[in-house]
Amino acid sequence: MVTKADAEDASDVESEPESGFSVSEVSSDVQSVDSDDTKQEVDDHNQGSDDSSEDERPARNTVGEIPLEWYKDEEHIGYDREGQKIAKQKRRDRLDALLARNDSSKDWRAIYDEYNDEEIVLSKEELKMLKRIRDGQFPDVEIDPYEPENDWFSRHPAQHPIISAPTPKSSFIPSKSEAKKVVKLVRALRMGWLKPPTDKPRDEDGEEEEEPAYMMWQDDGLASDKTAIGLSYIPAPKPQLPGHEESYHPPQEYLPTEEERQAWELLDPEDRPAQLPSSYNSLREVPGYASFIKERFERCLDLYLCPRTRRRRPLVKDPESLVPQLPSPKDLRPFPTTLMLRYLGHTGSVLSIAPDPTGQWLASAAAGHSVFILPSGTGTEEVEAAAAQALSQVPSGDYFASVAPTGNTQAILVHQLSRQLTQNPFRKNKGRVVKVEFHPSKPFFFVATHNHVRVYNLVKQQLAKKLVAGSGIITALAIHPSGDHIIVGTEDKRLAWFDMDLSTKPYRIMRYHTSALTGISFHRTYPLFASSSTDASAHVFHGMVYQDLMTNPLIVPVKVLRDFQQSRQGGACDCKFHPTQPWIFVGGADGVTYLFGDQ
Amino acid sequence: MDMDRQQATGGADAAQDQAQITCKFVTKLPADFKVPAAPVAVPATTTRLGLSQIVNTLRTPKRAQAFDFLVNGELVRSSLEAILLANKISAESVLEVEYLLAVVPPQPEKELPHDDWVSAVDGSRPSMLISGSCDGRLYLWSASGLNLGAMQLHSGSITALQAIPGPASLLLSAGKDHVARVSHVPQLRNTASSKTVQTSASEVEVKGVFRGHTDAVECLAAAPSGASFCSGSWDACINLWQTQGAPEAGQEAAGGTAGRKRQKAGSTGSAAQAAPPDHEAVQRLAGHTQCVAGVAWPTQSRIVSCSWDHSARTWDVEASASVDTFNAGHALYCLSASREQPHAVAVAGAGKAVRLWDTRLPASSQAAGAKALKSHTEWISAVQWHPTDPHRLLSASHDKTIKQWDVRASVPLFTLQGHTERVLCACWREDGLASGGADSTLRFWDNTIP
Repeated sequence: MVTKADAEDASDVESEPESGFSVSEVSSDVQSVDSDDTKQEVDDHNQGSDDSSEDERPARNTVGEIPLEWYKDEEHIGYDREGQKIAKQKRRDRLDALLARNDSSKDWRAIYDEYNDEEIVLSKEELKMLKRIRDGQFPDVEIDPYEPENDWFSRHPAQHPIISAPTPKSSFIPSKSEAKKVVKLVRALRMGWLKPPTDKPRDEDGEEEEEPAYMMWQDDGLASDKTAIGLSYIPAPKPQLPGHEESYHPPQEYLPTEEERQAWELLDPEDRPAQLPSSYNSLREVPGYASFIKERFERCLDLYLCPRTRRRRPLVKDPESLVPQLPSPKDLRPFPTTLMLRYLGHTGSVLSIAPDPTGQWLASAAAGHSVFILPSGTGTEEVEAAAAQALSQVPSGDYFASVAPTGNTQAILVHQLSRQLTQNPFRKNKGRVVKVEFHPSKPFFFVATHNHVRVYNLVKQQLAKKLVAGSGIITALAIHPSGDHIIVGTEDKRLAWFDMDLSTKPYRIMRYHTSALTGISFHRTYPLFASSSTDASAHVFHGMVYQDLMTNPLIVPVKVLRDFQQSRQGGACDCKFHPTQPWIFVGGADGVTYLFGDQ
Repeated sequence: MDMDRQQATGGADAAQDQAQITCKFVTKLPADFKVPAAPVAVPATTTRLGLSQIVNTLRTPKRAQAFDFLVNGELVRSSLEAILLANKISAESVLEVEYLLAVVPPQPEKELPHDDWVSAVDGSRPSMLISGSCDGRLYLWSASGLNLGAMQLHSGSITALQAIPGPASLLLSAGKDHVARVSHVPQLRNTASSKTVQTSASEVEVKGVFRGHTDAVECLAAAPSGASFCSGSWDACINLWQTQGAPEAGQEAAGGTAGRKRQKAGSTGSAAQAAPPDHEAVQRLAGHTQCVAGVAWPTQSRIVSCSWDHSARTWDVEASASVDTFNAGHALYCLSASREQPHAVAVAGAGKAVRLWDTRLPASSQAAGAKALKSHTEWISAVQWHPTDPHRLLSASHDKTIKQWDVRASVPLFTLQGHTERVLCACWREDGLASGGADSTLRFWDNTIP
């Protein structure tokens, strides 16, 4: 019976027909001979005998190039030409070998040829040859590598030329193909496709660096290597080998119970494993795979639709250079940093807050329809409850606008205080209105719906601009005191900064909150803006807007405020800056309004 | 023997290591506190306690007394060695150490409940304390903590209270209802039996209503003469008012420019007599851009004010112009000028430090270098100089503590803890302090308990 190991040995023999001798040498346990040197001698001798001493010692054994360990347990080793078994000679043991070596001066030259099962005593010439081979010289003494060169074809015209034909005319005409080739090369050099051979890179000492050594016969099946057409070869991931579950007739313990089967059916087809183990008595009874065609079709679709572009990673030498150069927050003081006061009283989350223009009072509206008015400086609680309104903004004076998001055609109403009149400026609102704001100085009106911010010119009574936030439902809107910049907070954690003079697309989109934004505010006098989010944090930014139109606004994150409690409704519901001081009010979902001061 | 000698030499070495400083103790205290003038060698590591023990041993027959020590005009708050190093004084010379009686630490004495937060308190009147709360009520208390009643004085929160110096026993009050009032609070009558209530809130009589501010009045200060007072408000102005002149006198001088009384339109008969007369502002000091949170009137010609616009200003009353501006870099909430040294002004606010400003020098020269007393951890809501001691002041803060300072030391003398909420007001009173806060209590602290 042929074992697997034997088969492998056999394949080794087939792949290396020249080294049959050495294979046997390695595989068998050579007794007593010093390991490496002798083996090399044997190898060398074998090579050397290929040319000269082949017929001196003809191979007695005709068994062929097979591993000799097959005959390990046999009495004979191979067969001679007549087909008779060649009996193994009796081997000397180590003691005998040692004694023989001491007795005879020739015995150290003896090596054992396992294939023919005999000892060969090398002659002195053969030893010398081996020595020459070891020293890296030619094996044969006769060969002189440094014999004088006979310069058959030289630049000196010979008196008697080898070819006496006259030089053809064509050799005097410049070659067209060469000219073409030169043009090509010059073009490649100019375009930078071809690099001229440069000096070898020098190391620090000024010596030429040697090219790094590499493995000549390295395994070229590596995934990172490039293929001939320049594409990386990415081997397919190896599928997991099937287990008992996939068997057509699995053991009893792998079969699902009735509950497991029901649970599997209740699962979404996308989430559950592809199939349940099921048992058939024979392979014949296994039905065809039902969704074979469907899957094959989807695979084809995948291949057909998959993009065939190569993504190239940008070459960045210094990753630090990608980080924008921003001033240190220390140089941008003052900005709110520490919790100074907590305004208590509300039971529901504080949804909206508004400080009065002098900074003396703070109005806060909470879930549960309550509005408190509090003196902001001392934190005294002076409470007046009133019916809560959704949202309202007071511009410079006489007018204010209110929003009722569910009001359909009457979602936005503009009220005039002096005449006590109410107007409905929009017959129809495109989308659900979230927030409205007046321009701080010009007759413009900002209406934020779920997806857009529309800017209306109140004098001309027409749409002036439509800003696209790009992503998510708009939840908050704030206008810079100059009126030229607005920031918009969205439900998908992003804050978009619009430069009104620049574009209707955001100048910058920032994503730093881990949850939806709830409030956004600009400071009236300090170059600050802030945003609050349901992730129970408020981020304060230095947002400097320059007077000249060429300089982009400078946006630097300066502080993250995290002193509020995270609750189910969300952490911070609204944020507004103090009108005069570098302080910020943050309405918390826990019913507390927080005041953060700058020291 | 050898061992003994070794020990002796070792001891000598230790004594040599421990440097000695020759001190001369001087004092301005009465004769029975005096000690012999001969210089005394004391270890360099001695602190205030050690010095106090030395002085007490020098004046042997007397009862032990706690002393404080002054070196180079500063209170000893570390070892002598450290002081010499800091002031670069040679340890060889004789150090002159002045000693004075140490201030007795105040002890919590009373806790008087209010209906609302206590926002203003005045303790300038002997044996009586007046407090105002956020519901606009005025509370009267005897020195022993007896409630003498309460009355509704303002329709909004009371923001400031101050007594007008003089025999008339008038009280100034300011409120969030945009007006300031002058009321007559009768003195305690010294009746034979101390158990009877000598005065009550029902006897408080409003003498005048001062209208003119367009927003809440935040602070008040009476002139040293008592004839006029000024008030700062959220409308960023300081108004000057005339208190002198009864309503009758005002009626006689109806044509005059100052102290003119405005008759309430539509008030007739008895109602007109019952209603307190209205007054108009005599003068208006404009210059601050935000709420004026504190004013003081140290001398007849100068007013000092501080504001939320980060500045404190001195004003010339005759010229009604700002003379000097001290920029603090943060909102200022409270200000006090020393009665003993009118040029010494303490301001504090959102910056957690009490800053001392000498108004005799230009503010620009000292805004950065002004001495700052740093110890509070949150906003400071009140600061007040001691009425008699020119070195002591108190400060109350949102960190629930009141601190007592000696300006000759950089660390507070005492930190009074007891309030469970922010302290909103504090003042000196006879034998101690009083403070009120957002825990709706007025607390008395006693300095006399040894």
